[in-house]
Amino acid sequence: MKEFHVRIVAVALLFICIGIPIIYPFGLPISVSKETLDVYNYVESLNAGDIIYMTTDTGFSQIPEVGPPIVAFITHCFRNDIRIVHFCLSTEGGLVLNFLMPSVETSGKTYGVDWVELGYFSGEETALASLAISIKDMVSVDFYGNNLEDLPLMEDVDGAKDISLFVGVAGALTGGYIRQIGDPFDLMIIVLARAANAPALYPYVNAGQVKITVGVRGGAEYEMLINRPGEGLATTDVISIGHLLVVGGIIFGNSIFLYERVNKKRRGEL
Amino acid sequence: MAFVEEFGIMVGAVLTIMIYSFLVKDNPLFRVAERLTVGLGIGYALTLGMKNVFRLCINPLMDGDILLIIPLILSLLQFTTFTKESKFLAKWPLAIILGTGTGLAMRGTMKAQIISQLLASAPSPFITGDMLSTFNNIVIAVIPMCILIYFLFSFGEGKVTKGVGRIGVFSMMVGFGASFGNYVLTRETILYGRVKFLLTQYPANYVTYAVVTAIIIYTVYYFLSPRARARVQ
Repeated sequence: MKEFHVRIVAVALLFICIGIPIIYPFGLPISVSKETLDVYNYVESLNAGDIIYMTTDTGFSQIPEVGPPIVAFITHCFRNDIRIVHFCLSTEGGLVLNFLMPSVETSGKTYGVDWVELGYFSGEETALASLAISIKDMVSVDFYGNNLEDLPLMEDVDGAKDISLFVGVAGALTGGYIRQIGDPFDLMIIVLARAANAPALYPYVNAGQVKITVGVRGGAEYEMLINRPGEGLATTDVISIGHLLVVGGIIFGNSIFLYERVNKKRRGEL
Repeated sequence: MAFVEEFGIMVGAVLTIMIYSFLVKDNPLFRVAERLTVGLGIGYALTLGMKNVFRLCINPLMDGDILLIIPLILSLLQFTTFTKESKFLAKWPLAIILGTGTGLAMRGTMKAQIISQLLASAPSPFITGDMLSTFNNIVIAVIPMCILIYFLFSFGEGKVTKGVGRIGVFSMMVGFGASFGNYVLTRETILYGRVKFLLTQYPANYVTYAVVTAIIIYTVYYFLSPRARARVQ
């Protein structure tokens, strides 16, 4: 019963700490990390008209975390006239992009000319390897059933040899991106990573194989860089307060643990 | 907003609260929501899978790409696993899937995940003008060695190897701590998404107000009524 009460209090505290900044945002300042700046600069270095592959390999539940970086990144690409061929290797990836596209700045951009949605491909790394060699050998229609031959963008691209960059979302399949696209075609990989996946990606970042943005914080930084405040910057208050609560909890828990340990030593129980 | 959309949002809010009811204890509401989520997920994946089979295989086959009959037959062979007599046939598609997958994964593993990482562990120049990057370079070069020594049991455990191994263990703990921190960040963001939905999205916010009011009334009743307290305890 005591444990139950502690759990309820902890959860209620977390809900309150998250709820207050949603209703009354504080606007805490944030700085831009080197990782996000690298991604931004790489996109800036691309030429207008360049084509990129983008795959959203994440589920609907992850939208609060990967949504802001996806929206900011695609907006940045569209502003620089970079064209996107999108597909997904997880079942919900297409849904995620469809949900987020209304938030992207798409003025003057046309489906089929500036971006194409190829939809879901099963097989993960195997599918990626096939898409790297030839899209048209694998599929003749896009996700909406349009013939690929009728889409102007698809006249300029068929495989990884025709693209300038590969972008993945989430980060769980990064090894596959590097093995099938990055190394064989000498392409840079950008991963709009979930924070949970980020530590596993740093060896690739250090090796210069991958550039990353980390979680919703990375999205917020990207929004600052492209000067378009959105959901990411709105989330940073909540994340900061939530983290303070967790850090406070860790310090509090450890203090209790050490206090009890000292007391036990005094009593000679240890 | 159309009624269907509003109804969908309300269902979403109710299901979210049903899932969070697990925080109190395991209960039938949570189990209903949990099974519904799993069922919907599987249903969606199945539909998308079928659509994919038609888009990538059956439709082109109908258009005359006769070679696609091979993957279609192989995939149908997977269903032979349901009878004892024909079970052996299911091994063929499985072997092809595993073989292709392993072959593709092996293709670039050496360069992508071993050689490049080794080269990155020996940065050049090792000592730079910036103290922080020099320290970082030392950490990158030394720590993997310490961790490897901790895991290598082939030579005897002396004082030096024990000490170095201990550095490896502490480094791993720092790494796991960082991973845990990032994991918490991910979960917190997802919680943020749900709380924002419950508090700001119309008409989900009305569902939230109703549930919060019910909880407050029950809490007051709990503290005022000795019978209710006795029943919970």
